[in-house]
Amino acid sequence: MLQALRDTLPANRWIRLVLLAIVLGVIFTPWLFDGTRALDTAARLSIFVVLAASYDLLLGFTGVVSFAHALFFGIGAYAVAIAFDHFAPGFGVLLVAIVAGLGVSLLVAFIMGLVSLRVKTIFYAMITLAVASAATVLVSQLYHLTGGEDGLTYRIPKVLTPAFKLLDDKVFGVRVNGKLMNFYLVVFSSIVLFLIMVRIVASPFGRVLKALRENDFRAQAIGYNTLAYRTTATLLSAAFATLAGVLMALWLRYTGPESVLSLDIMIDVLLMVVIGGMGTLYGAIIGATVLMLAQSYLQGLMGNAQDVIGGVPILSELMAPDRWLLWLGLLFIASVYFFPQGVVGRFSGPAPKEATT
Amino acid sequence: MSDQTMQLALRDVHTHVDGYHILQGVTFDVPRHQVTMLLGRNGVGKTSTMRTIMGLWPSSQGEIRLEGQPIHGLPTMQVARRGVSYVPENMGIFASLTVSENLRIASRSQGLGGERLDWILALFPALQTFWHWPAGNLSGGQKQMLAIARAVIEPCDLLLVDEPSKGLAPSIIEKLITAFRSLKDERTTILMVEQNMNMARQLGDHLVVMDDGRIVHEGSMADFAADPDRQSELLGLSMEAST
Repeated sequence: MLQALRDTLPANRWIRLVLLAIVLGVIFTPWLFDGTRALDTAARLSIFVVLAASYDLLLGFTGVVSFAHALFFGIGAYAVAIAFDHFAPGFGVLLVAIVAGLGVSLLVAFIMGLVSLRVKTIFYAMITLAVASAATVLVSQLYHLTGGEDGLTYRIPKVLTPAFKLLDDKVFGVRVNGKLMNFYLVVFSSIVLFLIMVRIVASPFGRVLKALRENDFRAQAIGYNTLAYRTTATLLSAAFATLAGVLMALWLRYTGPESVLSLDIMIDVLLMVVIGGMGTLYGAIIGATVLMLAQSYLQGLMGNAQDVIGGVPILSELMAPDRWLLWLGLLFIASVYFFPQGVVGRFSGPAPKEATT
Repeated sequence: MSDQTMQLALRDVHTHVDGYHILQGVTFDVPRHQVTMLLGRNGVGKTSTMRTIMGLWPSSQGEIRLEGQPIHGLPTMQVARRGVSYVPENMGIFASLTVSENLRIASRSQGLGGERLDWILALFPALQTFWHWPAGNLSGGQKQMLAIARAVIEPCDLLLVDEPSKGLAPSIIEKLITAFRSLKDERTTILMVEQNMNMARQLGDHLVVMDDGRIVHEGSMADFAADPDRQSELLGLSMEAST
């Protein structure tokens, strides 16, 4: 595992420091930052790192463009939500929900791959977009099962709720309750899932993925069944997205189309991977952090900024908190302009030249 | 020659690509343990022949036999698994993988290491120097050496090489010739497309000349090299002039 980390970590020292800071920042969030907002942002960040990294496994390592990735995230979340909606919340039920969610996801991914992986690029993208839209409609129609547009609110195992007290005393000013347990369950599960993906990428399997991303025919000419490899990558990617969805359902205690299935999520994940750097895996950490922080705090920051420059006519208009999406958009354009290979890609040495034969 | 001495045999092979009739009945043999040179002007179908043998562009008609077994209609990976190694034009390397990863990915059966690797590194010492470099950062000559090394890291029954000397400096070409000589001494069967007449003459045993999607001459390289009239008739130039 250490070898895998050594082989895959970006060479740039500063990027390594930033990554370390983010990981430590998330792990020690309860002590470093006040309020449930920070805890919520950190937990979502961990989950989205897994989701974005799983998407990178697909987009960055095999060059397959899919718009159905949020679907697998949704399947994982709904599996847990439906299970806890129908049965008393317990870890046995959770396990069954995870297995069922993985099963459905893998089946859907396999069928989609079977139908469309032979046609790479734009056709596969269109098919996945269609499947994702169909799934969204399906979820809102199957009201009795999924709660429709309202989603499902459910109870989770008691040890993961704020009502559960592990210690009576605070530890360095932080209450050790079920909420904290839930937080660490999410964070450490995310770290483990991410490390497994690192291991996969550093394995001979990952090497073949990189090879066929670069040149499918050359990989075939060495004797690799590239279709089988691409299908396996699709399945793995779907599985990790499903598990991220499971964590999301546990953390939010609510699952609805907007929070786990919408096209917005898909676009967020795409942006995270592109901003962080495709095919780097670690880019997912940077991209997710940038996007989550921007989404959670940009509006507030702009409110502060407007207070400071309140009198300036046009500038204060531009800084109005309602305009935060405008600035988020500018941030994306700037990042794509200055880091076309993503932040991690930009700082990991010269880009390999395009291959054509 | 009897079939036993033939590694590869093409019989009346036709290939259509995007509606164009590229190969129009290609028939020739690649004798075992020899270097066969496939010559011809640009655009006559040399690379298409290579691609058809590899199964990238499936033939529409005719027979391709490897060791007497038909391989036409097989997908590329199956052709590769039967022991055909291919060095495409413009170097068949993976630019984003390191030199060692490029070799490791090709050594499918037994992993990287041992005598075979020592032998290859002796052939191409530069590879050792840049062992952990991304292959995309190598020079043109080094990339070509890596491409050939990658193609022969697994013992192969037939090595297809498409214009290895293209775009390389004369001193590098000399090194390539030395390396191919060494492969020849190992009794590797090679089918090579080449425009560099010096290289073709130095390495070739057997010769096949193409024009307009057909074979117009097949014979020994020695005879061809000694016949300037034949050369100018078939290739529009003489070997002496191009050395």
